[in-house]
Amino acid sequence: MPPSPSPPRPARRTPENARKKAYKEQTDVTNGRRRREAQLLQLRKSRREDTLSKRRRDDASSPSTEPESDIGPARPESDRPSSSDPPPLACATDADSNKLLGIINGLKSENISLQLEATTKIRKILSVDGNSLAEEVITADVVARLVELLSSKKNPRGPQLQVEAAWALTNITAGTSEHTEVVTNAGAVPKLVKLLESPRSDVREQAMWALGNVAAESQRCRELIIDHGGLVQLLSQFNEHAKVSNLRMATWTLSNLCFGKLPSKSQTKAVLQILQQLLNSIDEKILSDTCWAVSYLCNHGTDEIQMVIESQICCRLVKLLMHSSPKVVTPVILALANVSAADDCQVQFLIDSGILQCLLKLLTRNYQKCIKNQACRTVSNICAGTTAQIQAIIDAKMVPLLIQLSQHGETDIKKEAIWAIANATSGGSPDQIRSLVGDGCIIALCNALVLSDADLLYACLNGLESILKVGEMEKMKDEAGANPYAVLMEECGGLDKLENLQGFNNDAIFEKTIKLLESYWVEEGSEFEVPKEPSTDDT
Amino acid sequence: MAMEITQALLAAQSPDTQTRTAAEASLKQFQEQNLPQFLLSLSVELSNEQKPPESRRLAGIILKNSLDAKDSARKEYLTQQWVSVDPSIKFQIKESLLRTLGSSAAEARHTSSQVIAKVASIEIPRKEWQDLIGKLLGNVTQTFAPGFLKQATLEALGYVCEEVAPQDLEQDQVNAILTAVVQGMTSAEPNSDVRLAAIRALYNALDFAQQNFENQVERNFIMKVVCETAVSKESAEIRQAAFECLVAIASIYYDYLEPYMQTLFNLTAEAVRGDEEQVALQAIEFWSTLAEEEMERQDDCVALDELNSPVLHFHFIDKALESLVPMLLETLLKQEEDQDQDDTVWNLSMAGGTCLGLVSKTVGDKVVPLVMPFVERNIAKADWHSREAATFAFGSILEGPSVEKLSPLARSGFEFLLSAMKDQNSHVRDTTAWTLGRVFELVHRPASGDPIVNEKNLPGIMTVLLESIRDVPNVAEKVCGALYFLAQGYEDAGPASKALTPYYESIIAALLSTADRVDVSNVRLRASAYETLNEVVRCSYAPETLNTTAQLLQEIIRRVIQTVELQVVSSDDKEKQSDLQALLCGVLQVIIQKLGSSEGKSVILQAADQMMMVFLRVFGCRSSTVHEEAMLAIGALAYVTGADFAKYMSEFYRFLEMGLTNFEEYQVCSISVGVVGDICRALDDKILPYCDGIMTILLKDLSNAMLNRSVKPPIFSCFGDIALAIGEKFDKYLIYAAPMMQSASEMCMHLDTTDDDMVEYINQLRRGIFEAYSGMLQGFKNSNSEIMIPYARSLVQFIEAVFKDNISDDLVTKAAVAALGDVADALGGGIKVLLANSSFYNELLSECLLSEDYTLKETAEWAHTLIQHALQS
Repeated sequence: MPPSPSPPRPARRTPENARKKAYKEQTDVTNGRRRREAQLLQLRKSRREDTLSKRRRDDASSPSTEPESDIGPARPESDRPSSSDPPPLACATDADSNKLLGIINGLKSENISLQLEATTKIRKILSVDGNSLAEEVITADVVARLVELLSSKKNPRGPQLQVEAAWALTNITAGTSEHTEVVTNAGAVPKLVKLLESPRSDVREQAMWALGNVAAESQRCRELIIDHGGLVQLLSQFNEHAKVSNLRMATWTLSNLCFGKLPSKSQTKAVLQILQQLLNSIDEKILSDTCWAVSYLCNHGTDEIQMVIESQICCRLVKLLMHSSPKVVTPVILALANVSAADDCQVQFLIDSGILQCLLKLLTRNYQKCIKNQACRTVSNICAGTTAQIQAIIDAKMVPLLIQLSQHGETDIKKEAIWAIANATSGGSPDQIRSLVGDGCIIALCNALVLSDADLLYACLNGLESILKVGEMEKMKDEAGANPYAVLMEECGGLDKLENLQGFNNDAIFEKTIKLLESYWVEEGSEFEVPKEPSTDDT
Repeated sequence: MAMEITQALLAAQSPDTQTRTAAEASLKQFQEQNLPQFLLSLSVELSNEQKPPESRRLAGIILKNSLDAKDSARKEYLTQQWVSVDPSIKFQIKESLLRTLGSSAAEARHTSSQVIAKVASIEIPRKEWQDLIGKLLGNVTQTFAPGFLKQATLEALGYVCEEVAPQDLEQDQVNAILTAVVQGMTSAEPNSDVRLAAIRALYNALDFAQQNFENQVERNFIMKVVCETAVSKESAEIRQAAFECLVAIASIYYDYLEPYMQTLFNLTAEAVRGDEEQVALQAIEFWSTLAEEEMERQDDCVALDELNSPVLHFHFIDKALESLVPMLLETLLKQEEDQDQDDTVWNLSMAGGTCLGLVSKTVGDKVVPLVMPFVERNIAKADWHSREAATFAFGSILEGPSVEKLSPLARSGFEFLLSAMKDQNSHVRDTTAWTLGRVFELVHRPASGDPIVNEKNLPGIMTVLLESIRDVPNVAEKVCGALYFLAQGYEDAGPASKALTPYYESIIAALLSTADRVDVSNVRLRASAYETLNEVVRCSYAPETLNTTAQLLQEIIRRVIQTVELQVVSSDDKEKQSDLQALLCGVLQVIIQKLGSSEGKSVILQAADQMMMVFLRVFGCRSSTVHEEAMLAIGALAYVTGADFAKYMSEFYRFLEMGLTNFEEYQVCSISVGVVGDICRALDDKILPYCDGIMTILLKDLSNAMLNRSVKPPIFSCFGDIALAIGEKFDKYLIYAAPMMQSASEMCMHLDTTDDDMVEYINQLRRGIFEAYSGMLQGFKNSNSEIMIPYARSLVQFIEAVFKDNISDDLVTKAAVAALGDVADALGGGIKVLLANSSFYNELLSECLLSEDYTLKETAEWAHTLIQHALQS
């Protein structure tokens, strides 16, 4: 009888062939073709999405990158991506402690090979997150010795030792504030600054990295660096011979130094001169850090903002709002939001640079919340300007958008939109107010009367007051002789909300509320039949 | 006619071509002229004991092939053809088949049992031939039935069970079958052929036995008989078949196994230690299957939340571990000489090691202390069997246990492994190289604080590997694997991947000369060498390896040209040429992607002309696989060259067209469609001159019923790519493309959503359609968006339908929301009319705004703002 070939059922059991394949299998090696295809598919998918999101954001010029969500203070850089080889120890045991002793002996030796080996080992121990040995390494002794090694004698391997020592210090300064303090107390800063003069770019780069970490720590640390001439040395790194990696590092370190107020105007000017050049860089990392530096400077006060404007970079900044990377757009909009809070002349400069069209795009297109929020804040600052500036907002057709955002936007964006509307109505000319009312500002402001932010409430009341005043002028045209805007307020429930505000626990708001009620509405039981004339002397 | 068909059937097997062709033609003519008579004659031929065995055999085969085919369309055709045959003729055929089960010719019985099952597979689901089971059972239960009739009938029952689905048989039929089959297995049955047929039939009937296994009494009985059969003294074949049943039971009826586990352990252990190899192999297979089943259940336990019915998991492997592992370790010592040089060998040590690997994956750390003493005891013994077994055991447990548990072991054994690469026995070297590869793959973590491979031991490792790659082919192949995983460890390791830079050149040189080896009898070594080369290039530290990679690029180009110039005579030559070209084009793709994304871009740009020339010459050799690999590489190249790719289009277009129209080899078509997208993104509107041709073919492909459906979603996405590239110029294709999109989206509504594969397909198709709409809307946005107005309504309806039927995955939903935003973006206030009477979009958006998928949420926010803006404008 021939053997009956009952074919195995793959669903139920693994046929011998499949089992045989599992014998000493090296699957990846044989699936190369499928993997290559998958890689290309992935590439294709992300390119397609890039192309689409570029279009969706209108006409940005280069492919976008992943958004970065942090806005804000100096970002201490953590250590280098882990090295090719290990720190010899993973967790502290007695044996490990002995080895540690060996390393420290090497560090203290006078033989440069031993020093180098020990420094490298320490650097590696430090570059592993959560290494229990790290704490044991960061002692005053060891750090002091590392600082000494920064200025090692002339020796062919000297620069290598300097890099390793600076690298180890970089890793320490990426840790806690206490760790950084050990480093600064050991006198590392002047020696690191000195290293910026080294003829070797790898030494300079590592020193900048360490200084950047120190600068991120505190204002005191930043002043320490500047006092030792660090800023001047850093600015001299920007020259036509510098490598891109050096420029990136220098820009990052500079941005960290700018996080605090610089001691003198001349320093700010010198920094701005460099930043102005860097703003034309095509390297996204450099561009991003440059913009951060500018945005920090704009944080320090109107003097700095004035200098920023004088350095004539605002025009470039406005253009950068349309950059495709959120890493650039985020600091730029932060900087411009600060500039827009300055005086009317400075704001006019922004409008003349075409900022409104850019803001409109930021607000309507696919941008992150934090960017939209700052864009909206910028708009509200502009709305607080002159009537000409308010007119520019109206002409840019921004009002309907603001009203929509004030109703449906995210909480923060919503508030900024209400600020914008309140500012525009408070400061607008009668014609402008009529146009604003036509777009629906009354409802927007009335809806805002339930908020708990007293400053914002007061601004809304101011805006409503201006509107009602214009309404009094309209009264003449009205057959019934009523203030049409007061009527609108009543119809949208604004009057009820206004009456509720009498219970709001804030004197200024209480007084303003009473004033509005008394001026435009007959109080119940009042003997007056007609509303009072609005008083004109207390705007 | 009866006489004639015998002659024709015999002549069709004649060695003389002319006779054979003539006979085949006359059979075909008969078949076409009168199919029912033709089938009847075949069945008569098969059942006629007077006819020669050769004509009966062919009659059976033709009959079987007239009922079933692998291709599903053909199978459906044959089914319809059988159904439409006159019932009285079908009756005669079936009677004659049943009669043949009692034939004295074994081959005729066997063939007829198979044909019966094929007829059953058509008729039983249609509730026809309902007396078949009864008739078959009648044969078996007749007291005086001859053994060979019982044997053939049981075989037929087994095949029927295999062909029909459980729901097509009534429970009482199932009960009767099981009773008859189990009866045939017991020692009461004197004929061992019958017992073998019975146990094999049970194997096929197990799927039907759900209810019987749920019943404790019946279950006990079935298990008892199977276990008894597993130790039956008669023949190894019977015991093997019984163990095959146990393997199947372990996987189908795991939930009921617990009471029998002690018995089963004893049975399998005895078989592994004392029975013939074919039985012992199945006994090991039992444990391998159990381990896989438990791993699956572990995954399910993790995947299901606690509210769902808990998955039963008895941890059988874990509980048996202390006895199971020693049993498996013993098998490792039973290697055969040269087993690694022969791909057809499958023996106890191979099965045992593979099982040990599965056990290790199932229980993790616990396996380590049970295996390590064996390793230490045997690794240095004089007998190579011991050394190999120790190494194989160690290599087998590297997956499953934690890296923390393994790294000290790997670390302390590392030097030994390296020295074992010089063992005098090639089998030991083979296993050692494989084990080193596993250490690199599973235990080596370059990015961790304390990697096993470090600057101290790397030089030694490289010396050994580069020397051993020249070893015999099977060892060399494993060494390639080791290099592959060593390199892969440095993927994304940043500057850590510098570690391999000093060896980069020598690794490449070694791999290239390995690929050139003349002693390579099988093609695997060459493929491994090139795939390893790819991995080494891909994971290298680009800033330091740029020049060497650039040189490699030239070398590979040279090699491709060599293949084109090869003398190709036979089809074998052709296949070799095409396989080699596929490997080389693969290397080119990897180099293009590696250098194209770094400072090496200029290298690729400089060599682009050369490469395109090479690809075109490869296309000139015409072979589908090369076609695919070269296409893939061209797609990668287009991204690097950008708009400069335009200069190649006039020559390349011919081949692109060839790829796009190759619907028989649908992968070629699919890859070509993808490359169109790549080129669109590279060329933008410079692709315009070719769009007429491309669009015509793509539209034809879409309406081609023979084209594999998996190509259709990418074609729709490709419409979007083209529209984005050429913008308003897409207008002339819109009237053709849009109706295709509409009808495909409607077709989705009528597909079977209970079938998981179908749901997956619907999702892909929808995503493709949405991408097409998005590309068009964004393409027309700035110039001629009104042109989309007539199609926007059906898009909105499509989005609504997709939203409401709830089978979409997140990617589809995201594509739908994005398309909705694109409508608002492109048409602005124009959407007021479209959304006037619907509210679904608000629900859709608010649902997505709550999504945990960040990108979906972001897309929804974007769409929401645009829609609000558009509605208020």
